[in-house]
Amino acid sequence: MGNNDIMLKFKDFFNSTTSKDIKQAYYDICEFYKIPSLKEINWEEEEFVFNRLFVGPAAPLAPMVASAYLDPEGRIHGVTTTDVKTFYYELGLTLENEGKEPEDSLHHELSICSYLSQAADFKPEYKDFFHKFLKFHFIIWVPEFINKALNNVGDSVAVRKVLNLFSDWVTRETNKL
Amino acid sequence: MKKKSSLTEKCSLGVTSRRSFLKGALAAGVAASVPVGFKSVHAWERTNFVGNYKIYRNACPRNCYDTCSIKSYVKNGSLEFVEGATESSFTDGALCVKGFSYPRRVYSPDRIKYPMKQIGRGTGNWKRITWDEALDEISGKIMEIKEKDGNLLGMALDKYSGNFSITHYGVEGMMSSLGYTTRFVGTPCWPAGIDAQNFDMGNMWCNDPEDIVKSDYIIIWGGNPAWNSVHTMKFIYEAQRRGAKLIVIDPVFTQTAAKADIFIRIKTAQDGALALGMAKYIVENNMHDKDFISKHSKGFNSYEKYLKNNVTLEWAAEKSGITVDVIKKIAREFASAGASTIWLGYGLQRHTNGGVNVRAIDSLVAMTGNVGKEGGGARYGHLQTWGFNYNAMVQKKPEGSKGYIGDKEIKSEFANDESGKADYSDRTININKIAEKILTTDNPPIRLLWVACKNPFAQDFDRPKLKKAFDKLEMVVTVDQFFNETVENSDIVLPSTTLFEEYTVNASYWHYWLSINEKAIPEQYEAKSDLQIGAMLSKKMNELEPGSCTFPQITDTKIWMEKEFNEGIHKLFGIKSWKDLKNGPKKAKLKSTASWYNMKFGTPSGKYEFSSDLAADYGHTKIPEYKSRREAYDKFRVLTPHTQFGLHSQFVNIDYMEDFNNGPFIYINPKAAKNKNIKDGDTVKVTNKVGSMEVRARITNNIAEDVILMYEAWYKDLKYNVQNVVDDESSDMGTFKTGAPGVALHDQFADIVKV
Amino acid sequence: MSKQLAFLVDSKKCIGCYSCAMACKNQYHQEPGVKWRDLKPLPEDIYPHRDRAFYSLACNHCASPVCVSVCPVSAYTKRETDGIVVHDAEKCIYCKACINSCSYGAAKDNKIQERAEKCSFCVERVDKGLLPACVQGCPTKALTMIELDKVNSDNIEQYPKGFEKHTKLNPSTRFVFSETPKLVISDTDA
Repeated sequence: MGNNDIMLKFKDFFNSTTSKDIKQAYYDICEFYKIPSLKEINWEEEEFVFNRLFVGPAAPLAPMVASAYLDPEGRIHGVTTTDVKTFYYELGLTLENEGKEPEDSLHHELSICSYLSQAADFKPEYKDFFHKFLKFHFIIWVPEFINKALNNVGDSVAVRKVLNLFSDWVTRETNKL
Repeated sequence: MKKKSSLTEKCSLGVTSRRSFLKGALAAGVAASVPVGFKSVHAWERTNFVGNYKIYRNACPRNCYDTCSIKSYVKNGSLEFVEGATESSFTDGALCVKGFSYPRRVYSPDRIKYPMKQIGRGTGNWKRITWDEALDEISGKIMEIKEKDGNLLGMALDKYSGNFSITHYGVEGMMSSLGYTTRFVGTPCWPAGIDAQNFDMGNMWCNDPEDIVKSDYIIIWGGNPAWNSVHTMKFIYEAQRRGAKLIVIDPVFTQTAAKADIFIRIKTAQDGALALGMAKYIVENNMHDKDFISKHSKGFNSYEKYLKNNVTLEWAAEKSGITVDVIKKIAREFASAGASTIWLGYGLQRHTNGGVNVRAIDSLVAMTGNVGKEGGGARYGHLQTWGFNYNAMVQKKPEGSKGYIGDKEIKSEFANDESGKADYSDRTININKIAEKILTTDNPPIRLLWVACKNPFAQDFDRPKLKKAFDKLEMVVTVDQFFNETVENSDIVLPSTTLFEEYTVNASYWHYWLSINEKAIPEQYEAKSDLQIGAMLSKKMNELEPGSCTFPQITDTKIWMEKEFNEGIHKLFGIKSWKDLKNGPKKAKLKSTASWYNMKFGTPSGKYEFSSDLAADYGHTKIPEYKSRREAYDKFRVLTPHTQFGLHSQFVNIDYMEDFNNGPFIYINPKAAKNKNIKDGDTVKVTNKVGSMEVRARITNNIAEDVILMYEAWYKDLKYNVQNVVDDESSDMGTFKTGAPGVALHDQFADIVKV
Repeated sequence: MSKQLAFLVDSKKCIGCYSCAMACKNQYHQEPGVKWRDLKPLPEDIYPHRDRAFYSLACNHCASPVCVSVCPVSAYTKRETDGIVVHDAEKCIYCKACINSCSYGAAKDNKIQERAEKCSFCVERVDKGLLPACVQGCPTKALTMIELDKVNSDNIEQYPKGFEKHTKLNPSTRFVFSETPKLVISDTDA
């Protein structure tokens, strides 16, 4: 499992719908980094925390969308979404269900990161695209998102752990730029 | 400072232009597989990306006189901005502060995205579930209720005006398609006035509001169009420009009052007395239209007799707080103008004597011959343009459904009785007493509550009692867009679409235009329309038990919309099909701008009834005799009318709105404020027998010294809720036409103290 | 006299509904807190009923705009064709000279984007023959667009009560003052 794969594992984590998904992603991520995963975890509590931070039904405390942090009015489908949408278009890609979810949702952006990183193995110019995506967009909002999440994570252990590992990954990618 | 992402160049309007750095990216050919959820873009799509707008037609489905025709500008699947349609002479290109905030509302990060389940009501611990899982649980509960009670009366629907598009009556249809259920009937809105107009004329039918320009004398009584029907104001201004006089009668100096020639601050709920005083004067001075009265009315003699024996101008002055001279003046001017009209507002009839007060005011219009006159009329509302098929609403009960029998509650022996062919029906209870009814309804009790197009915790009266009532419910399902107090107190929340995410059709209860509502953008995240929810529930129920739900399993809202149109609608609007509305709204072809132009009233006598036997059947006086208002049960009268910044609990929570409306206030008269040592901005505690609340003070002489006013609204993060000091006292009328009496919302009282 | 497009603010017709202000936000999506157009309620010494009379104000597209003269990067230009003072936010270096100099507060401080910005009379719409968003969005036609040299009505003022008089700037906005009704007031509600 390489760097591309861990990006997809983080994507799976943030795309979790149930405690089962969260648990699976947590274990996968811990395994990748060869760190011991905690045994005594209350997965129901972790699910509540996850939803409170990222999903709803109340306004998410750390929304998983770049617009919330970058868009001047915090509006999704505004300039930030358009920005990212254009970038995808220039790559020859668009969302299958355009208009349903904003293009700058974290899980879509992680997909793109993995895609660009994979493509870089074949085409060196994709390394530039990947770095550009990170430097001029991803790392501008994601650290703030992680911070916001960590500030509200409460007694969670699994979600907290993943957020910390994700933060470390972002730092390492930033240092490569 | 907000950080800037700069993947692409931006011009000052935020419109992206093409970048050159990625030129040839696709041509390079990439061996990596396309990521999940993405697809490859064709070359032509990319060049069209910085393209033109796609324009869609929408119609505001909110509970508002104006029901605006909207033009929506969409680019690459995103709604960018909205405008009012210029084809409608009523909307005339403009929306309102709420309508213009729609793009912000649709894409609010606060919107509920997925079905979710609360583990322990009120804990704030929510799990995300799939639609399948949600419907599994709900249908499971429905089956459980049927098993336990032998019928589905334990399932109740609380729905009202959150969305008035025609197809959304499909929620009622969904209930019917499941069996006989408990329905909250009636309306908190306008029932007393509807009954009153029905007793008098046999229907609620107002003139085309655009014909107000033909009026010579306009009285706006207990209504505030400057806030609640902004598009009608231009017609009133035109009438004034042509020489008409505008009189505003209200206990509050409203925004509309500021535009009047004369503002009359009446004692709240004494409208009947004022109207009777005016009637007395008109009759005494022979200013009534004897021709209309003899040809088209019934019972004027007994009315005249009542006025003679029971009404004097001095009495009317004392009761209403208006001097005899002024009563004489407006009565004289009203009766002698060419075309005189009265616009009866909805606040006017939210009193224990609201219905009969409307009847007294109606009589002024009738006795002066202004009913059936262009520019005249007793304007309240109409349903003339609502003759759709109601396909979504009318659904058959499943075979073998058992329901409610007669006036008494269903007895257990009937539930087991297979032999007799009883006449079943839904069990109906008063929507205006929801808390009370949930607590007391039994045999069977209400177990499952379905909430759609409504927010009972913000809307319904006696909030403390409502909280207790909800504790009794076994399951609460709420369909909504934002996390309001009702969602907070639910077990399952289902995300609903906005008007831009579905097809439907809208008419107005005030003007005579018809608008199509097109699907402009895809459903956001997993949101679904009420109709799609009904269809999906039907599929689930029939999987569990074939035949247990008759709701058509159609999830394409366009089909639902198409099914609503019929020859009657086509003819009325001069269209061949709904497609004609794609180019803009159409107006009904009216024989006259006046209602009742043909003098064929819908009453038992076929005439205007000054004396109504039907009214007596419902426990009211035959003629609009004076009825005392509710006695004060505390020091100050509490008025809780509508704010201009929202429609009940919609819009005020949008942060754009906070730019212009930075929070709730309690409005206090300077004299009262001085006595209580309250200054502008001080926190005040309002208390009465129902409950209490705290809010900042704003001093104004727009109200009397013994009146306090708070606007009813839901602010996202505040505990502000006027229902804490409002009880569920009924209005006099409403049962005849709407199944239950209304609510005396403005007959509330409280005391205040500086905190 | 060359053409000068201007806003006519008819406070008599204005119902303080905020449609104009929100129409502007609907069009340009300024961030929360940044308002190019807003309603100014008239104080009780000018209009005796609180919260019942307003002036809808944005930029006055002055004859001698101070923003044009103080901007070090020429982000402001007054168009010769129609007198609209256009602002190019992209040029802004956030020196705040205009924000501090405009006596009418038309130049808004956008702390989030770190730049000044203001109403530019919806130039892109006007150039396409459309009305500014706020004008189109007014349901009572209280806010309209006029050509200054074509205006000759008795009740139209340049400096009505409650609007500051800055003759050096010579604002192009014109006003119609509000009116009050005759009052018939009951003493108490009880």
